Amino acid sequence: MTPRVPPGVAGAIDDAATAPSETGFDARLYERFPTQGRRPRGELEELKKVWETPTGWRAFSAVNNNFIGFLFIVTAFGFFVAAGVLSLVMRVQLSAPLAGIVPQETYNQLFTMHGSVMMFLFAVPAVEAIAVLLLPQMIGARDLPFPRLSAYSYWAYLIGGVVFFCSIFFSLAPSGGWFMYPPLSSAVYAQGINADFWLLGIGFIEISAIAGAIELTVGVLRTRAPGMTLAKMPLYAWAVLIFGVMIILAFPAMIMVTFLLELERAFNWPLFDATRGGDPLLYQHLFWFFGHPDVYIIFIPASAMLSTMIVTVAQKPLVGHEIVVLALIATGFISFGVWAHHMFTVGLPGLSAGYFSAASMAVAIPAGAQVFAWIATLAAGRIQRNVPSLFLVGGILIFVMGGLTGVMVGMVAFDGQVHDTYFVVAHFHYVLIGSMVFPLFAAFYYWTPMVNGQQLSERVGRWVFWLNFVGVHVCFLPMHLSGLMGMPRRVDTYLPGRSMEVPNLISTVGAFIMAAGVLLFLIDAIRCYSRQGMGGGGGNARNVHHGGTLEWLSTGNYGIRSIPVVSSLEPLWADARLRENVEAGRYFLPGTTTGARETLITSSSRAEPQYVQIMPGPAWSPLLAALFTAGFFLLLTVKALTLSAICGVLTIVCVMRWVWHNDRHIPQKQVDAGGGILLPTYVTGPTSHGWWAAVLLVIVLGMIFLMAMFSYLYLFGAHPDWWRIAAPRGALAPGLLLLGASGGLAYAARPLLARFKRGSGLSAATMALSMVCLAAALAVDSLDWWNAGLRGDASGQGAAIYAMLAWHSSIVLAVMLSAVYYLARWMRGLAPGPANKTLEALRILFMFAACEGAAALLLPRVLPWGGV
Amino acid sequence: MKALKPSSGRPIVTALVIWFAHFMVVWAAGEIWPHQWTANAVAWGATAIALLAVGVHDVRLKARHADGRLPGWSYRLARGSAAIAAAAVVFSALPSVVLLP
Repeated sequence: MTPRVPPGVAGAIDDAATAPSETGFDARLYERFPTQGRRPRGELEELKKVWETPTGWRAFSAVNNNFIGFLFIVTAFGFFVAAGVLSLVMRVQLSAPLAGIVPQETYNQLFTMHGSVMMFLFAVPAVEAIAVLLLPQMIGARDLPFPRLSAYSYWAYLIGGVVFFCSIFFSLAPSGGWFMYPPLSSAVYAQGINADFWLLGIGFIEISAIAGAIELTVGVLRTRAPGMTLAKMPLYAWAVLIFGVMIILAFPAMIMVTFLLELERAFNWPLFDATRGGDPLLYQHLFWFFGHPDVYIIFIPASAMLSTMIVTVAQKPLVGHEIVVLALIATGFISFGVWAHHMFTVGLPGLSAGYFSAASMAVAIPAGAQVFAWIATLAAGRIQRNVPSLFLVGGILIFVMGGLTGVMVGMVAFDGQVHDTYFVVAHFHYVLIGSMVFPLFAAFYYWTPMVNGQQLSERVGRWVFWLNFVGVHVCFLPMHLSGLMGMPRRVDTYLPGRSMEVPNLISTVGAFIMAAGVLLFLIDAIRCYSRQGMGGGGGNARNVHHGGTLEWLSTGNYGIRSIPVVSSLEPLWADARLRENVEAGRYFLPGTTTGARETLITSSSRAEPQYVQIMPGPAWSPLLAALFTAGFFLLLTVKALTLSAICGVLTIVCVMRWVWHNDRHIPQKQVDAGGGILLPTYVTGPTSHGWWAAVLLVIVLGMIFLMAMFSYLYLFGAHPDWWRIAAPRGALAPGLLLLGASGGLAYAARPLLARFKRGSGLSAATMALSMVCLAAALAVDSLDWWNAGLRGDASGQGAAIYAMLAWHSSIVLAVMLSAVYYLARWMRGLAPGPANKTLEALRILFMFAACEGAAALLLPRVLPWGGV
Repeated sequence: MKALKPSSGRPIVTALVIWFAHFMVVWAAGEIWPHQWTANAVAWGATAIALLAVGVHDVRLKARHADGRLPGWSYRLARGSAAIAAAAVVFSALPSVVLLP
């Protein structure tokens, strides 16, 4: 009897017939699945052994996404609780007029830390953490493609976050608000190192977030289960993709603005000092170019979690799935055109304010489309009445209320009335709690059985929900009123007899009701997770909600036993025997073909199998690299320069050690990936997932430099009278020649490697020469300006140009280190031809650096055209 | 099997990129020429160009779909994003019609 073809396989073959292949893969090979017969003895045990998490103190070297993702979530929630405690102190202070619970300066530190920790240490990391844990399971991957990057991202976040948070216990916390506007945060008004601690902490979060975003983006695009085309990709994976791309595009603005602020504070370069040709509004533009998309960076994955859970809660496919995907993409885009609605009161030209107001209204449309899709799905389905569903419905309600006041403050005239009042505080708390915190709680209740096989208590959960739901409204609803009555934000007290007492007292009561809800949740979570360990657990409550997506097949550190062929948004609903076949190892990669950790790399659009990635296992280098990076920045902040330099060198050593074994060259070795389908284990160029990561990293670097160029143009536009040094042209010809040579040599390294017998040595030599040309061009450019009399501390012109060159110098330094690294690999025989992944990645960086150098050379000499 | 040219996400994001470029141009004009007719005129010109570009993109989408080079799912999403982008361009240009110097 011919076995029945599973729906996933049949669907994937049908899909393949309707569109051209992306890679040349023959989809009819899917017919070999599910394979028949018993799997070899010991295959599963070997798989388990390979993916085992180290125990004891060696657990710190673990890199598996289950382990790191769980720690990530726990840490983020820890910061949520810590920042919540700070807000309780603030609410006690505001419960009565002229209260003296905390001194004014402490209050300033409290609201600064509350906002900074909630935004930078909780909201973004929490959604990223859930993605680290959930995404690979949901798309059928064994792990994320760069597990050590996940580990580094986590440790950098933990160490940076803890150092930053602890500053409040030593009165070293910043006090200038979570956005740290200059001139209040400049060296004149924020003396000491408090503001520098903020810059340190935020620097870490930026590194962590970008590392995670690159990893997740590549993960979504290259590690999906075979057959899972973009059309069949879960909505959550779409959201993570958009989230990753948004971080890649938005966070560079934050990196540049913190870099510029530190330059101003450390070297007195007047980038934001209007009296010397700088401009504080430049800071606001850069900050909010990051800051507003950041809200959507938080919202988009959280909303997709909501969509995923609603499908299960309603036991009905999402109504308007395609419209919701489109809405997510459109929201991501339009969110980059609304940043200046935070600046309506700074005196923008009316027309500019009008554009941002229009975009702010427009972004409500795709967000609204999602809400309608959720309501329609719930209305059409048979709703499960459980704690996740309570948090989902409650979250939608709260989010809609926050969204409506968002449209109000998007109007210029109305915003002028309520700007910097408690109305705005109420608005964004409603938005963030409704769109992120409630879905997060729903996610805890929904996915806990997947993590440890146990359920959180339904009875306690209902209390948690109602305490939080009531608490939110009791706390934040009165703030609309106090804000409309004119109560300003970030002020530690108010006068009696102005009708502010009652709404403030009610808000304080509400804050404590919410705190009670969170405390109850903590007790329940500790009870639940202390009962069973991680990694498979022993509970039998898996998929209690009858979810349809692949994460419910996860059974261990390796994710799912075998990677199925998928052609449905809810594969578990489409194929009742999928679990059985997957767990019997009847699909791709049922064991380990090379004796190492592996996952399947598929094509970006149609998810056609391309190769088997050999993944790195546990290592100390990510943890040590994060520790030394922390040491470098921390010691630099307290001006311990020698120790800081030592930490810097050790960081570089750790990173090089970490990536040294990543490029394991097994020339064209092919392995049986399942069903007799042979796939290579080593590929280079655009087919390789490492190449994608290198390109994404270069996009990040390019965006950072674009922000530096914007800063130059903005200051020139705002204060042309401070452009007093005529642009020297002496460096133009030699600089461009050197940069052209640098880029050309880097480009030539690959053909040289491929075509010549001694190509390996030739490529190493050309890369080294490329680096020398790049460094020489930077020296020529910098000296030209210096000899022309330009000084960084003299004017906005000097500050902007040297800031651009300073950033470029850091890229040149990275290129120099990379060249040394590649030479070392060549000397050890680890740079073989005809191609190797290390060269492919490095030459992209080298060519980018040459282009960046050319832009830095040309821009200040072309604008202003013809001198000053 | 011979691999054909893959369908990518480009058709979906092109129209939204046009919107973003339009937005940056009209905003920059408003900043460079505050309270001047030039800013409004640039906005009108940019809007016409952007709408034309979205229109051309839409026509090309139809052609690619008719040739079988753009699968139905990508086609629907791409046309949806073109519609959103066109609406967003018009919406973005509205202040330049209402707020005259």
